[in-house]
Amino acid sequence: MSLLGMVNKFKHKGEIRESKDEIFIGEMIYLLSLQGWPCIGFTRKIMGVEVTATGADLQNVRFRTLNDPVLYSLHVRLDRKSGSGALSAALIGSKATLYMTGEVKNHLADPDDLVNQWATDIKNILKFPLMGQIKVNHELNSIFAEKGAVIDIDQYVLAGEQGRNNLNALLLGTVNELREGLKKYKK
Amino acid sequence: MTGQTEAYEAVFVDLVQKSWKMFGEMDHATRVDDIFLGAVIASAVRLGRCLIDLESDGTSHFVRFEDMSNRSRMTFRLQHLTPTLMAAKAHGHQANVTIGVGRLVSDLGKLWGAFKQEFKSAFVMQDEPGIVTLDADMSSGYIYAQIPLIWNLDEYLGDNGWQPDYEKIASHIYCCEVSLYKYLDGRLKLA
Repeated sequence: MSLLGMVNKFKHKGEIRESKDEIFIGEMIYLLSLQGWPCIGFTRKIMGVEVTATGADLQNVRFRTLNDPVLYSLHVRLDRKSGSGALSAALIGSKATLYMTGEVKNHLADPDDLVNQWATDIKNILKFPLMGQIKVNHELNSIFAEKGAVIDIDQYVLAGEQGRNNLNALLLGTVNELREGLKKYKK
Repeated sequence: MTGQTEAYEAVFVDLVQKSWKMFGEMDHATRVDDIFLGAVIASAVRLGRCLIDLESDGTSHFVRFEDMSNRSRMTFRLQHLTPTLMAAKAHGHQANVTIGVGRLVSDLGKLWGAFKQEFKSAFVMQDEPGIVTLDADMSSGYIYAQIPLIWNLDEYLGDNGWQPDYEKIASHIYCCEVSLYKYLDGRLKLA
């Protein structure tokens, strides 16, 4: 192998290591497309405003959950914490926090319903979730349930069919939990 | 509640509901590029490729894939030309699409040749579709051939605009890739 070939091989390994979060997102978009859920954005909604935040080590993807009996949309945020460099990958692995947020949208127009919704918004405004718990938050016509977890990306990507099955189970399992948490708010 | 108040409320509810419907149409018009990009990603992963790069600023999007079995790469750049409902109603959802294919080369001469070509390409007007250009990534040793096109996204998103035709998207990208590889391999032989 030529010197350039050896250098390329080394650099290629580094590039793929750095890209594990993107590979994870690609697999996720594929698996959710199998549910009939198209991707609708690479942005994050903060206080009702969409913020573009997809790039190095932070991925935001939103899906429209078509035909789901409860959910209107799903937002996934992957924040990579370690494993971009060779040393941290060897010592800690590719750790990341994965936040999934399900949204129920109630198109309320009746003034009495709007007053009730506002009262619940105020009750929930100061509640913050602990890792692994589901936090429910009301924002006018939308009700959000969010769950966060620390994951090891290596369990899900570049791990063959088993990795894909693990990711599918993680995604659909979390969506089920979010759906259960939000079911009572669907009108 | 008096009958008159009920009547007022009924009008109010109707106005709110009509607003939601129109808002839904406007919202969809701004998301068509994202729906399409997601479909491109899903189509490529379905064919066994890995997404290795994803950049998006909300209007301009860039993705790069790699086939881990032979290290070949595919790039896809998308810019929505009609991101408002009014423009989309008049022209349909059109987008600038740039498709590229990349080969890993270990010959420094070939890489350098493509790099010189890229330098020359920078001085050529590239706002017309259908012009194939070469691009070299000296840091990773890849040479890319890429072509800008204009696509009508409505053709790929189903009747309601929410159901991408993954087969069609994959097939059209593949057809472009075959031609680009032919061009790239021909150029590399000459280098």
